[in-house]
Amino acid sequence: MNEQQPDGDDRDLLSRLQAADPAASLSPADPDRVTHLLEAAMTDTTTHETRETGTHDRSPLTWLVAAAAVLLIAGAGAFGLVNRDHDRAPAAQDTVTMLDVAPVPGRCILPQVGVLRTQTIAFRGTLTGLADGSATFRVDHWFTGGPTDLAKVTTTPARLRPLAESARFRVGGSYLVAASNGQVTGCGFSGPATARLAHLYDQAFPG
Amino acid sequence: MDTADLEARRARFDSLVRGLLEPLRRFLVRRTDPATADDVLGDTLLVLWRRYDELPPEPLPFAYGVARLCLANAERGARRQRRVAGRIAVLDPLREAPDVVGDDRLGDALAALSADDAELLRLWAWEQLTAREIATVLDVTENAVAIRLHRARARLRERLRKVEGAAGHEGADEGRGP
Repeated sequence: MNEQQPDGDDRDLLSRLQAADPAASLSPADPDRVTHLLEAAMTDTTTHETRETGTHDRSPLTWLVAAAAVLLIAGAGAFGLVNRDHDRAPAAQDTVTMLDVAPVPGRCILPQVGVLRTQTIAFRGTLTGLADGSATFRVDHWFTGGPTDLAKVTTTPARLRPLAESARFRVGGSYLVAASNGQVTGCGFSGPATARLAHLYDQAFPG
Repeated sequence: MDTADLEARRARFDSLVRGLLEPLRRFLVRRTDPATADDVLGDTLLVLWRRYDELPPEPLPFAYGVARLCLANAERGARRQRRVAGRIAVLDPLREAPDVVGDDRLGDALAALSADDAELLRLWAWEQLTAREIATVLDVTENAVAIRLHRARARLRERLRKVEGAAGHEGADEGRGP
């Protein structure tokens, strides 16, 4: 990219520096690694809303709706407290699918319909509990496998942690989870229920 | 953003960044150890994805600037960890820029320069950037780059003269009998 012609001294210095470039013999990146890096970057869904700009342009109507929502939630909470002894389903009646976590492979393949279709378990669920070595989902929809009310992933903390981090587990969040042979499949196949991942699941399990 | 827009954006980003990836890898390998270079490359791509709308038509100098800041962040984090676990510093020495290849005297002369001078010279010689492009990487004016680069080259020549002069004397001493 150097557009100016260096003078003699500069040219000598440039040649000497370039001959000693520590990256001169660097071999090209592994294409799988490149794909993985790109995929990891593009699955980021962080918004850029800052505390300063985030609420700046919201209209008074937005605040009114938010206030109404708070009142509604508070009302519902109070109603729930008053009526808690009545028609609440006992937790003991929940059926559970127990899952482990597959070991992390050396390389990941990109999430794709063909692989997803081979999974024996696939569901959309809300993460209701997360502890060292266990994650519990209330299943909202079974694509395949089940059906049970809950799916519980139980494994060693060391094995759950990478999955929890890569899938950005957060209690209350909605997730798409795939598993085969009783083991949750990571590598981007299980993760937050983004539009992209939901589209893959819909394609893999139509109807 | 709906699914079709997101897919189109992903396709454009993929195609653009594949062209930047090898220069970015080389940029990082020239400045840190391989493991850190790999980590920082991932961080850099993440920032580029988040700032995709800000990428200029010639994105490489901008991408180098992002990689430079990500590397500085990674090194700050590593220094913090070392402070927390002081004893580990013995086992995990400070990461340094890799040695230049096959020219120890040039390596010594570069190492004796200030970090700013050495970085300008790397951007000029190894990334082969113009003053305008270096200005984008460092977020300074083109004029400031031209002046500083001129001085950095002069200082490197001076250092080389000193290093090579000292080596010449050592060689002469070695040749002398008792």
